[in-house]
Amino acid sequence: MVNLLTLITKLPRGSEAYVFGSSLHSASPRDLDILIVYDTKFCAPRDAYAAHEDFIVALRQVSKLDIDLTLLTREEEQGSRFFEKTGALRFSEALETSSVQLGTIEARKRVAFWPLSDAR
Amino acid sequence: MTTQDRNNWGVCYSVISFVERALAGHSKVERFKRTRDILFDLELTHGRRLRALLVDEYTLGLAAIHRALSEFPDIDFIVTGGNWNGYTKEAKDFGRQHSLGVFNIEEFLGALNWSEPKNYHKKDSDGKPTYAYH
Repeated sequence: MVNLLTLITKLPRGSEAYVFGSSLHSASPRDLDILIVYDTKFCAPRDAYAAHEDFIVALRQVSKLDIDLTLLTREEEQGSRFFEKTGALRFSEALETSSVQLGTIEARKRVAFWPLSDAR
Repeated sequence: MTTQDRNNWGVCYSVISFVERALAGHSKVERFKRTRDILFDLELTHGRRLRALLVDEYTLGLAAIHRALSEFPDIDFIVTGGNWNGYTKEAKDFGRQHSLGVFNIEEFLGALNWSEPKNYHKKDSDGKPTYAYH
């Protein structure tokens, strides 16, 4: 089974993943909103989707949800204040939030995050 | 106006349908055709033809711009559906440098009224240009 550590290693150097949107609040999210902030020193914008495909494919398998991906350079994220506007959480923080709520959330979200939580 | 192939950009039919209705009712649009689910070929009333790709990115960034140009190399516009959607300054600047209009849907519908749609921008109360920067 793919676990959190395996997923993180699939991110290219200089990239960080965040969770935002309804999947942070909904018991049965329709999809998983993921922001990846990447470093243009290691990944050019034209290569960004391909470079992060392994991570997204694995995350889709683990979460069993469609992944709605936003890819921004560090400069774009800073300029857009994406974190501030969306309340995006680092991947690990999102897992902790989900773990706290595991006793009350619906089964689908549990399915989405159990395998990741197991890796902690 | 036929649907051909579902898109792999996560653009749902409600967004597509909204844009179709908006274009159908636009005074400057003579006709349009949608192919590949999200690609719109427009003919304006004065005869000009435009090709626009519809996406649904909350924040349209450089990576999405490059992906769009890779998959749809002949587009004139990338339009992110939903008035709450926007784009980064970097994406807008890239568009300016490469003759590519980068707009959200509200801006795009306004741009169709301009003689040079790619140069369109809204104005604030002081008359200064405003953009749907995220």
